Amino acid sequence: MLNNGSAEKNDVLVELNKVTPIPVHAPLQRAKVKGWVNVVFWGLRIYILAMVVLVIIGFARGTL
Amino acid sequence: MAKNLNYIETDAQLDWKIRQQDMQRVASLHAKRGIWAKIMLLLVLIGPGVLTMIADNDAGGVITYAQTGATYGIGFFIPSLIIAGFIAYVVQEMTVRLGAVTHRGHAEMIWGRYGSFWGWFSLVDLVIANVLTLVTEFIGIKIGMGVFGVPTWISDVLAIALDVFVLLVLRYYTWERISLWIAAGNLIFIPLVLMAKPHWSVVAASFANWNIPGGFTAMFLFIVLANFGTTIAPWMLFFQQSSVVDKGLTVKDIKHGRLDTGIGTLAMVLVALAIIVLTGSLVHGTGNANLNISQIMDIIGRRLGPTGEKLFALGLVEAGTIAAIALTASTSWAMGEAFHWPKSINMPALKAWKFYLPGILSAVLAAAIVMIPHAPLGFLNMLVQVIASIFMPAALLFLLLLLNDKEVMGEYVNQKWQNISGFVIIGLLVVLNGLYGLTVIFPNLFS
Repeated sequence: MLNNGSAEKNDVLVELNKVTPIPVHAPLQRAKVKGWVNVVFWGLRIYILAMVVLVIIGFARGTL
Repeated sequence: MAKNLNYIETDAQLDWKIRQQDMQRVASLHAKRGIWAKIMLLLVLIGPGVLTMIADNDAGGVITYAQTGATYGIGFFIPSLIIAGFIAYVVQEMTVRLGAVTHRGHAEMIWGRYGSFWGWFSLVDLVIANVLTLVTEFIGIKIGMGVFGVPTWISDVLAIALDVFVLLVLRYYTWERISLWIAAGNLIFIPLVLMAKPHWSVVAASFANWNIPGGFTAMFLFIVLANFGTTIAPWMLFFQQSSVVDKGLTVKDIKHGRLDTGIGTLAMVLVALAIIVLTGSLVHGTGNANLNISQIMDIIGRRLGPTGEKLFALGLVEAGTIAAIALTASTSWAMGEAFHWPKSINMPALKAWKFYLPGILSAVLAAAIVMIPHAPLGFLNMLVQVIASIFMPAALLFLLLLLNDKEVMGEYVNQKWQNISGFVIIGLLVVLNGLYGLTVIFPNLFS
């Protein structure tokens, strides 16, 4: 029987959920992307775009 | 829909039941007092960290380190590898905490917290990089077995058979133990370097006179990137976190997880240093430039005798084998986590075929590519470097975001020094990648 994040340890029921902020078998909620995290995501998008452009140039010129 | 949910719950029940056996064993060892219980606890908990770090010294890594030593000697790269080891430890320790606190794999966390776009981005990058890296592992196995006169198709079949057998037949804990025994073979490079009788005073002097040999050139930058790319790779984040979850580690085990990661880092750095000192002592300065691994092994054979060459070849085979086992599992775990399929090596093969299939297919595809005559293996090797270089800062960023997410980590969020280290590592990778990108547009930039 699935015991919703509990495990018998040494005859003592250990509730994993007590030290796991999101219950083990609960679905994950989407994180709120705002503030500095939003800035980080835009930086990531720009970085990926720049690297993809460089890779295309590298392959086109044969310099990669 | 209801049938599907029922299916998932049943798999989760079975997985949880098997995992509980391991968790109970760990809990009883935690409860016991005395030095033997402590040693036993360490021996039981050791695994994910050591496996990740040793598998990181894969066939591609062995070849990169050997070529680095042959090209640059034992100067710049010895201190830089120690720094790279520190970087690897800082990053991998975060995956231990994330796995032990959330009991979820890396792919599941990215998919669940940041949505399907970034989930797909991470998964596609990881799977492509894993397949291409597997190609380099099978190339390494082929070259190593070739020294013993074994044809490519036999070495391919043997490697695939071992890889598939341990994944399909064994439960997580046994799979991990067998993998650790294979990983121990990585230490073969340490007696090999002792056989070479290097000048240890030169090794010690590299710390006092740390400089860039031959100046900062595009070639040097490429070697630095290749060495960093070898030391920290995206698959490591996914693999170690999934291992921690599949092993059933909890927050009580984080201390041992750190120790495990530390021991693995030490072994990884020692082996990498041994390879660089070996080729730096025996091959560097022989007047040959741009040597391939077969030429390097040939020179080692001439300097140390056939035993030396065969030991190196065995090391190459072991490096490819352990990495193939890790990469195959990494692909299966990531797919299982992303799509909520069964996601545990504890699961029986027939019941969890969806979980096992992607990993096995990736290994078979890679082995088949190696068998193709005149396959552009050099191009594929370069492609894996490019994908890993682009993906690594992104993967690290997700790791840092998750480790700072209080909703996910609670009291186990990153400390300030860990965040500073993390962002410095990302900055370093972005700058190195950017500089290398500039050399693509301006090939003579650092000439």
